[in-house]
Amino acid sequence: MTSKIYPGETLPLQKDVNITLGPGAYKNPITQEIIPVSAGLLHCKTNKKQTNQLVYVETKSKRYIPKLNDFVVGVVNGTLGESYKVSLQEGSNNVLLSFMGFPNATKKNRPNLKNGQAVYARVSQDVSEIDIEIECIDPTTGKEGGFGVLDESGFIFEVSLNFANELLFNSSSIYFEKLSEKCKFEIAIGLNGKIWIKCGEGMKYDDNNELLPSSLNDMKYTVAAANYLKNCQFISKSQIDQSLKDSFKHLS
Amino acid sequence: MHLKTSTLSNFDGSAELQSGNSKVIVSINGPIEPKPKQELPNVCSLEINLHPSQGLSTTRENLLVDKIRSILSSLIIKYKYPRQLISINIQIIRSELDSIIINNFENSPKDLKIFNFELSTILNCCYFALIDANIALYESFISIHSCIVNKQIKLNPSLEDLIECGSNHIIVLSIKDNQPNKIIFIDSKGKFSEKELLDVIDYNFNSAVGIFSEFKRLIDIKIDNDFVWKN
Repeated sequence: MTSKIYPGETLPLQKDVNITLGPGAYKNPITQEIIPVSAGLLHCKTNKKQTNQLVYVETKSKRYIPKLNDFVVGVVNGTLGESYKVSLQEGSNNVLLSFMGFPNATKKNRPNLKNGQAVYARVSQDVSEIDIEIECIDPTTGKEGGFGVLDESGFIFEVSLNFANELLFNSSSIYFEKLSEKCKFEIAIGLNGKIWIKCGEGMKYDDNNELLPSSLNDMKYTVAAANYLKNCQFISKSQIDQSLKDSFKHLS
Repeated sequence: MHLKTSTLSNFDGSAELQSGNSKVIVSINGPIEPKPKQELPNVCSLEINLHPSQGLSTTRENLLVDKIRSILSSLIIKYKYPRQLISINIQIIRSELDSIIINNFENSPKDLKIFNFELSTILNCCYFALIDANIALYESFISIHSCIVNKQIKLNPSLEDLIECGSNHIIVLSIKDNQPNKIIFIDSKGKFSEKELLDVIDYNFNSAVGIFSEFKRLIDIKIDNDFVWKN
């Protein structure tokens, strides 16, 4: 069930069920009242046994607030003690990525990241009163699990947070299926709205930091794919084909 | 009333509102990293800048900012963003006050009457910008400007109405389930009796439902635009 909701309205909550609050729902500690705090699409789901109800408001947002277990793309900004400072978004507080937050890292065998390098990581601690922490380990296996340093042959661009959420979690979304008709790509989607993408072999540089002529075509495809995905957040599903065509029209 | 949201792409939220002859643009960044002196341990801090349509901001703008701050701090859920900063920039683009130049507003009773002229539009624009920036709010709110001319209550007065009127009142009401719920703020200028003020409050409570349904229509359009990729 989805409908539009505005801040402070009464939520359609059932009595005598366990209620789980998602983003956009807030329990006022003084009045103990549960209210929506933003305007957007209300989702209210009850499980089959009628024992649990989930309430959240889906909104468009550009500012990322870290939440536990979110996957994020960050840029290393410096070091602080035993940790790297990582920027998830311009203007926001830096988060910490411990030297130990990598698989098989020890005191002697620590990763060596430079300023400006991008990482794909998971938020491991989200208490907003203290510094947020991220790590590059899959907690279930203790191994890499797809996290780690994103190489420099890719390209990072930004989309709105709810669209990043859609791309990462909606397995039935057709955006990547359509894109795969045009080129081969590798992608890392951060819920902080940053997306890292690499088409083909990506952009390779020589020793003087100049783009190799052989990777020029891959660079064009990478930029076109990024433009296509950025454009998709402003159009309806029926226009996706046209947007794909427009983005790749100069490429063979 | 004309509204455009997300007009400034470099901000987290922005809104441009035209109401009558006043046009205001509000942009919001936040929650972001505060300067050390602004940081509060358990709540977020608010930084509000108000730029007039002409010239530099004066003591009048400072007083308006204080009023806006007192209203917004009671409506934003500050405990949700500890140690963060919400920065609000307000630019008045066009105002009827442009036609007359007033150097010092506090000098004469006549000047005082038009002191709050744009405040109502600014507050309404702030509401839309806060919604656009997805900042958590306890309640929706609307601001209504009305004046008493010849014992008649008039909504959204023009500059001439304000100069002629006996008194003018800005009332900010919180809205719950489409009905006005609480009075957040009242600012009155001019000479008026207690009964007149109560009448104005009654009148505004009654007209709030209609005004908020217009607000809802504007927000519905915004939400539909935000989720266009879902269709």
